[in-house]
Amino acid sequence: MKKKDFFHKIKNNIFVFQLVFKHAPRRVIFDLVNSAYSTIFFFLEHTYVYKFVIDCIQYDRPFRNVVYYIVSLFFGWLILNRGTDLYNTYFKEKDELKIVRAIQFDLYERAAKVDLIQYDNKEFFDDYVWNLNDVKGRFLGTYEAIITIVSATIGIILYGGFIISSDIFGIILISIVFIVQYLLNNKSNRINYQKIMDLRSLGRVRDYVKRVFYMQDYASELRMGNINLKFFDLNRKTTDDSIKITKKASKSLIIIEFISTYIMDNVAFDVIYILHLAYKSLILKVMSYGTIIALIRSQWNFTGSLNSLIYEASKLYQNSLYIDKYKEFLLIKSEIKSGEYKFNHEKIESIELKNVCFSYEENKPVLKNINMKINKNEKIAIVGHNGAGKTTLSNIILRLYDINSGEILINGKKIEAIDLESYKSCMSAMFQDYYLYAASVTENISLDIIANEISLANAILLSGFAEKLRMFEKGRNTQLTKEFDNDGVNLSGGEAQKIALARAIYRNSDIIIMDEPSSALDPIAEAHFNETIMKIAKDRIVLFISHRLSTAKIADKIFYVENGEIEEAGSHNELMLQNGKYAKMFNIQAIKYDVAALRSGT
Amino acid sequence: MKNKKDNKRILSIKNILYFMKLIFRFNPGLVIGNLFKSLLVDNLTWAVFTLFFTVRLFRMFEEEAPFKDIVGLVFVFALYFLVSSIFSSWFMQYYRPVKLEELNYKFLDMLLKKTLSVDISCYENKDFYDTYIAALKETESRAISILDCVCNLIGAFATAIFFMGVIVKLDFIFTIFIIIPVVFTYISQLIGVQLKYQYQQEKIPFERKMDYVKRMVLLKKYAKDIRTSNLLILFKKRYDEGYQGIGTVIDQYKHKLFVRNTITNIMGMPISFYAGWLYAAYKIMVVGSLQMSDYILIATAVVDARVRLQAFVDRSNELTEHGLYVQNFKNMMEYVPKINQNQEGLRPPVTPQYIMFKNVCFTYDGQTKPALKNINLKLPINSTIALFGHNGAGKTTLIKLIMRLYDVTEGEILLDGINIKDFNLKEYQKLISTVFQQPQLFAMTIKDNITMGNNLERNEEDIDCDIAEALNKSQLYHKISTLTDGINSIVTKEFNDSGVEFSGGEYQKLAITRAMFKNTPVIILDEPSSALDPIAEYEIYENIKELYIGKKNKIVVLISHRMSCALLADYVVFLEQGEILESGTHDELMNQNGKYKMIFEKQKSSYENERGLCE
Repeated sequence: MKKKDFFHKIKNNIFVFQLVFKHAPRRVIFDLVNSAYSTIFFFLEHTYVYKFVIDCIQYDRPFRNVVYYIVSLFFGWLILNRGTDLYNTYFKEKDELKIVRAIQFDLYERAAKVDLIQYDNKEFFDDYVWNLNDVKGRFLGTYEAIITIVSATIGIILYGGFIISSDIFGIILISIVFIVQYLLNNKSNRINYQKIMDLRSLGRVRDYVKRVFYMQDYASELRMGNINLKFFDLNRKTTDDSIKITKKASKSLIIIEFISTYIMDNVAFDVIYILHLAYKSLILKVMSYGTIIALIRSQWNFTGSLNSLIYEASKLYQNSLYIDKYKEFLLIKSEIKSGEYKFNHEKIESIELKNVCFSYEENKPVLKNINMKINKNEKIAIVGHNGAGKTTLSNIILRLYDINSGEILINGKKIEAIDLESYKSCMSAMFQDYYLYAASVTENISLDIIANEISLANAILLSGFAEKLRMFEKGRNTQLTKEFDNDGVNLSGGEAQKIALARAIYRNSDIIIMDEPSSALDPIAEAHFNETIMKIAKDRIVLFISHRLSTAKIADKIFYVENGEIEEAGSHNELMLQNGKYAKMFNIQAIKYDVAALRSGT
Repeated sequence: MKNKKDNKRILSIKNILYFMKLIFRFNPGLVIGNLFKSLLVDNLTWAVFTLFFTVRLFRMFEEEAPFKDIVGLVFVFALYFLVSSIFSSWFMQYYRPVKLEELNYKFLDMLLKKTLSVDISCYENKDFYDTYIAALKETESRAISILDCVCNLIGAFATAIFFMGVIVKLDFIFTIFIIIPVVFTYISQLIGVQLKYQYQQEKIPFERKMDYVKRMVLLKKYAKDIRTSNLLILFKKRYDEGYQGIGTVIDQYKHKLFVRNTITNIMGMPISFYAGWLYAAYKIMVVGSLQMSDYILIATAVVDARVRLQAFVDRSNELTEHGLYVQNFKNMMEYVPKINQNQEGLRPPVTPQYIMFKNVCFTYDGQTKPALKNINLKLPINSTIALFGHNGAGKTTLIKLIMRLYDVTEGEILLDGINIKDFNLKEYQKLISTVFQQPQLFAMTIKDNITMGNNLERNEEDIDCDIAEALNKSQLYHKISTLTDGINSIVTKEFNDSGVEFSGGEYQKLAITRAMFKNTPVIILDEPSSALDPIAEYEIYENIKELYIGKKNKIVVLISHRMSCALLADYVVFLEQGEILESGTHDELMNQNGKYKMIFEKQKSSYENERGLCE
């Protein structure tokens, strides 16, 4: 099991290495050459130089030798220093950007395909955010750890070789220390990892507190009440909890740190090893002074290399966990599978739902036994209370979620059998929560980099945005939001909704689904909106969800949904005659325009 | 130019001192402990080891001292290391992490409190907002970096001086090998900071584009758009704009940076090492004025002094950079809000009789077009005023002025004849409860979300009673009573999967519950029903009508698109482009045959015909 773990770790790290090599081979080659060269050079510059010079002094060799040695060092340095800087200033950053871009794009592609239902899963979301947030640090960190390991290994071979060539005892001592240090380090890593995990949820609380305070959305509420006091308390409480966790971990950590710095370093080397060398030199007289100082320095550097090897190797484990998550994320299987069947210039004629049931969580059905049939040229309204399941209904028709039982038939074909891309290209949706993006008006409507000019003009006109657009100097190229452009325009709620409407119209698709399309519109805009619906409904299916019944009224068919079930269905007139729940709802809305009724207190 | 840079440096030093004082005030133990560790444990131990221990050891070799003396020397040092190891293990693993948590707490607490005092208009100012977020986000990591940086700086400097002192005592010439390169490096890096800063600065807008894409892909709210369109391609394009932009910046700067580094490095590094070593070897081997053990002393001390001095220079450059951040932090902390949140003043009346706008004009910061022009309006007690108008007509701005989230640009707002600026701000705001257009829920208990921390001094049972009553009125009682934890359930799934989520309508109802619980003489309802279904809306309005309209000594301000609301109001104000276009009672306006009537008829007609049908 352990062995398997080990290989798995190695495999993950090799994976990163390969990935970096694939996207930036220059970087890998440079790093390998550089780490070998610099380690060797450092040995000659800061260790061997002592042996060389001191031996020259001890054995009265000519001064000239020293001059040659040091001058060669200078040239060696020149190559190293300028070479490294050349790479760093010219290529390093670009290579990094390239790598990060490639990885991020893979993640983004995947993220865009993950089933929506996963977003409701907290664990998934945490991992996801973790993944996307720190690609740069994690991937490059992992790669750099590997390079450091290479350097450290070269160092170990070099210094170890030098030590062995002069004195076997040193290597035995160092090896024992190494094993103990490795075990200690593993232990402290485990404790630290646990600590970080324990602190993570507290960190989230802190982040939340910060977010509440820095976001404009909350600013007014915070100022008008005393809820801020609760947040101050929360900060205090989070800190107390963090301190508790820190204290809990500290006891073992103190002991480990003490053993590893004092016993395994000071005592082992500064006492035992030095006494051993002194004995060899003074009593046995088998060692030159130059060798002693070079050995002391070699031991430092050998230990240094070992420590960095241990340290980086321990990071390999954490990095491997990260890579696992990354790979897992890329491999998440969509539950929503694309079918084979493609619509080739085929229009969607009908949508039929048969005994459809759906729930987000088990045992909490949101839709129960839905049966409905929608045909081309129909305007369908789905009405009902909040939480009745209206938006969910539109989500399953869009195939953002798959149903639990029953079937959805498009042109008589099962929705699962249809190619997903092909299906989605037949649909356009205007969501209840629409957002504007930091892009041009054109891009905000097409939600793409290219735009069909005619469709665009048509969408702008029909959505009623044309009027506003005329006020913009740069027209359709005007940037929305001030995110990147100080001349960017911030639209009001109603204007933004028109953009959202334009999006739906622009795609010229067979099915248009609109969720609360008119909620932010003022009366005139709403009337305009209703006219628009009439215009665009031709030759396609328009399905809109609304609780503004004045909008619903224009529909050919109305479905009244309650508690996930269709309670009533029919045209406005039919439902009014039926005098059921829909009629009641409509009357309540209408009555408010009846001055006499209202004043008499009905 | 030079002067300007000096000033910047001085400013930076001042900033760092300001920040260090703050850290010290928050946590003196941490500062002292950290300094002690850096100065004595980290740096001194090393100096003692290399200079006293190693050199002394080799001198003993040269003098062929007895082995037992060497053993004695080794044990004395072992004892010294014992003490320093014990201290540093305790400090690094216990004292420091615990104190750091405490330090973070204090910084966050201070920043949060400051945030609340800042004018709401600041949120619209992008520059301010950016600085502020930077200050808030980075404080934790900055605080510890700055503290470590200062301690390392002092430690490195002291050790460097120590090493230099030791070598210079042997031969004065060595000063040259150490000082000249450092001075040179220092000067060229001074110039370099500017270049590097420019370089980093130019990359920022591009980095922001890349970050934007990350944010968009990350958040759930954009997920549906991404899945139903080619938005991802658009995002990738945006990302690549940033990516290529950075590439261009790199190309612009790379030559300059490389040339600068070449000069700095060649002049800086090798002289001290190689020349110093050669000179020492020369003195021993040719002149014979120094001993072999002196070579070890000099060779190590030259390198170490140089390394420490370099560390000193690096740290001080790092501090200059930190200084820029502290400037942001300081700006934030020293910002004097236009509206002082702790403003003292008159106590407002318990039951105000009226609120009056007198020639009020208001323009948002940085905009030229006024949002409100010449508003004259009286909101008397026992009445409901409905504000109508298109999107962007100034309705929400008007109520924000009443709440004193902004102050008027011209004119005045009077409460019972007294300018509202003259009242104690917090007391004044306590008169008002508001249901915002987009109410926000907090990841706390339902109870906290309703009380909003108000009425903390009252006893729990009374509060619970009032909450129950308010919930009943807002029709939320049923939903909440079915929850296992009742009003103590946590709202949102932010921290906990068992958190309660509310639909849009319930959201609004909770906000209305809030207002009902607060039970104030002035009530502002900004589109309270926009997310509600007709029946819920009807119920809410029935409630509002029953609770507030025209009775109980209230002043009610109502904003809505829905003209039917007008029928609830005693007085209707129709706004257009920041001005009052029409105002009066509903009947008056209907008789005026103006724009109001036109819109009202339009909305009404969409219901009218059908009503006839079903009756």
